[in-house]
Amino acid sequence: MRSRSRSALAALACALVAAPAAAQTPAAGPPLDSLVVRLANMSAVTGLEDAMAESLVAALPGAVTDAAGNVVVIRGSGDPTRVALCPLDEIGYVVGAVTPEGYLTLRRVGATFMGPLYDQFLEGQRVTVFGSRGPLPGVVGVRSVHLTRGRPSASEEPFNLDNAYVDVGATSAAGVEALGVGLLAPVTRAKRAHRYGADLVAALDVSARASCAALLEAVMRMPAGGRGTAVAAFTRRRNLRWDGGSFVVISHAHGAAASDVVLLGEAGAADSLGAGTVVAARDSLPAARGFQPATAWSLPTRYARTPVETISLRDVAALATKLEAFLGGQP
Amino acid sequence: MRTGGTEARAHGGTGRILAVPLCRRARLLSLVVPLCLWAPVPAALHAQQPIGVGEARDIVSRLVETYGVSGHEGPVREAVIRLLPAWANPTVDSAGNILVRAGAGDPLTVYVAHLDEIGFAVAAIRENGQLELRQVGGFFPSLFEAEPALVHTAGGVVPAVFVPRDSVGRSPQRNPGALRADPGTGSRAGTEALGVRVGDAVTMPKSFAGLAGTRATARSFDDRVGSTALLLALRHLDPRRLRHAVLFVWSTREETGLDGARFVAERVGATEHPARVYAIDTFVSSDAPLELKTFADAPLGGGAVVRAVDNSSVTPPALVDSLLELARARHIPLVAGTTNGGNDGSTFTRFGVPDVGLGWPLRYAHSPAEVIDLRDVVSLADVVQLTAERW
Repeated sequence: MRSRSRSALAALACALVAAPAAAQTPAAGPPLDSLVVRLANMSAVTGLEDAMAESLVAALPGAVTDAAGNVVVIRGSGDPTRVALCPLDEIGYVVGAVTPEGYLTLRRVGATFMGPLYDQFLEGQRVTVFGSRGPLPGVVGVRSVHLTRGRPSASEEPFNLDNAYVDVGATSAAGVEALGVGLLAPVTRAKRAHRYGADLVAALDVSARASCAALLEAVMRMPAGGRGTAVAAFTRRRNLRWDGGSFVVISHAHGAAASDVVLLGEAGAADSLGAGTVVAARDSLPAARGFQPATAWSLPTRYARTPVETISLRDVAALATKLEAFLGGQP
Repeated sequence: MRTGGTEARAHGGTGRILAVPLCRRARLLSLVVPLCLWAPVPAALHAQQPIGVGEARDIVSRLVETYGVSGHEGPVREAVIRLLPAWANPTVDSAGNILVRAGAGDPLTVYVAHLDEIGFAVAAIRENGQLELRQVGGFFPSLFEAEPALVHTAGGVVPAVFVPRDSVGRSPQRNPGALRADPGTGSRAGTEALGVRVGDAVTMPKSFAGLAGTRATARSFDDRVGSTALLLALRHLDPRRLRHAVLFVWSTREETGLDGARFVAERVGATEHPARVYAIDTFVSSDAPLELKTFADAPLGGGAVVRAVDNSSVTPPALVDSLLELARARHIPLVAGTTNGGNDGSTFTRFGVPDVGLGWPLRYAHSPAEVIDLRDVVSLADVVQLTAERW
């Protein structure tokens, strides 16, 4: 990696807000590995991606924010135009109400329903509430197992969001307000990427975030003077019909060949973990008058859509190399 | 605090109505004479410095960030011993309990807090390298499904993940059934090469975090808060000023059957005839949004709680009254109540030793997100110190 790129990545590492490292989590390794962990530890609820976007703009030379809020880097000029899109956003929550006792209730953002267990993974876990005075830790309440003894059996149905009360330590609604927390404050699980095995990383949404790390690395490595125009975009609101990504396509690649539009961030098949990028044709990216054909490049992903969604760093490195070649116009 | 045990009737309320001065109740109860041991309260205690929230936070945060599933308490035991005052001369018995004696003369009183925490143990290693797990202690396994895991081997910690269930089926259930852990090796040989063996402890990673005000969250406050209270009391009392002998015990394997405390009870209870045993353990509180309030409603921040009735013991009412009166005279927040669970002190009662349960209100017990108020830790430590010196 070039020294300029290294310093830029170091700046990004400083700019990104990292969750505290787990007491027993191994230290991050080389820069790309570290970048994966740092991006996985960030929060960007759909439609509320400003903090993450600003961090990327601050750290990526030449990056700008377009009218849809996407972070875009353009290299070169002329035809052909090659576009790589990586979504920043994640399904998360906002504060839906504050109870008189000082608990927060939640409203999911980015999906109406995520399956019967998605919200259960919040129960009894730590969350981060992004108030006006900065992020605050909280926990989602759960019944104490002791107090269920000797009583009729509790419901065996999965925990659901209507029973999620976030406890930030406040004792009243006024106390919550004094913390800078109110309606619509974003809430996510507390992020703490977890490395295990030889080269595995587990975190909620790690497949998309690791793909974005690969794209970031590819942009940094990309040599000057490549053929045509390369557009790398970190997009917003994937979970609202890909509308950030669609804006990029309409702006830069309307009618482009499917092979010139790469979609990142989908979870690839689990059984190919460690085997490299999964490539598949897609025609579902909404564009101006219909759908833009594209090619999905995905990381093989185990335990997808759970807090231990898992990817291989070897696959991330391979994806970064593939993206570097693509953006540089190499066959 | 252990979750099992026989069921007790809920008496309700915080027990404030029981706070009748001991000697008034003595006219009603014939068992009072030994209970009037406490002397008139002097104007000042012997403590060099009052116990503060900052000191409590410092100790409890260290202890909750140390791992010690029942039967694997070594790291916590070492941490507690390191935090003892210089004058203490700890011994470790063959059950792994830490014992610290101070003072001299009758009657002996005993304090017990437990070192261990809930978790899992490796039951088998599959061909694909994944670990079949056995639950250690009582808790909802759903709280661990699809979370990061740590396998505590003889050679160190091996990271892994708790495997999410394969499918939810047509009728999704809250309980995932038996959990597995995946260290990401892909083979039994790979897992064994990491040093993982059947019997190793498995936990989630954990850390201490401050919440608003004096609230804090972590996993295993049960019973690291009790262990902290004993440490704080020992660090602040003057052993030369004690009026009688005291024995402080940090016990093992409470969550799996009060085993460590039973070992001590069989030796000390039968031979030294303690006047009382204080079980310093969680008061599982219903001061939480999903709980029924029919009993156990001790508010966080309201101070320490006398666990007057639980599933393993009932503290003699005159003792409850006496203790409340003493704390009130010293302006130490203390209420009485009833909750569920068993306690280490109950292993002493068959030797004729009254069990006085002392706790602090805990929300979300045995979950990764337990919540306390640090002021209650201070209150609990104050009560321990006060009883050692004055009751």
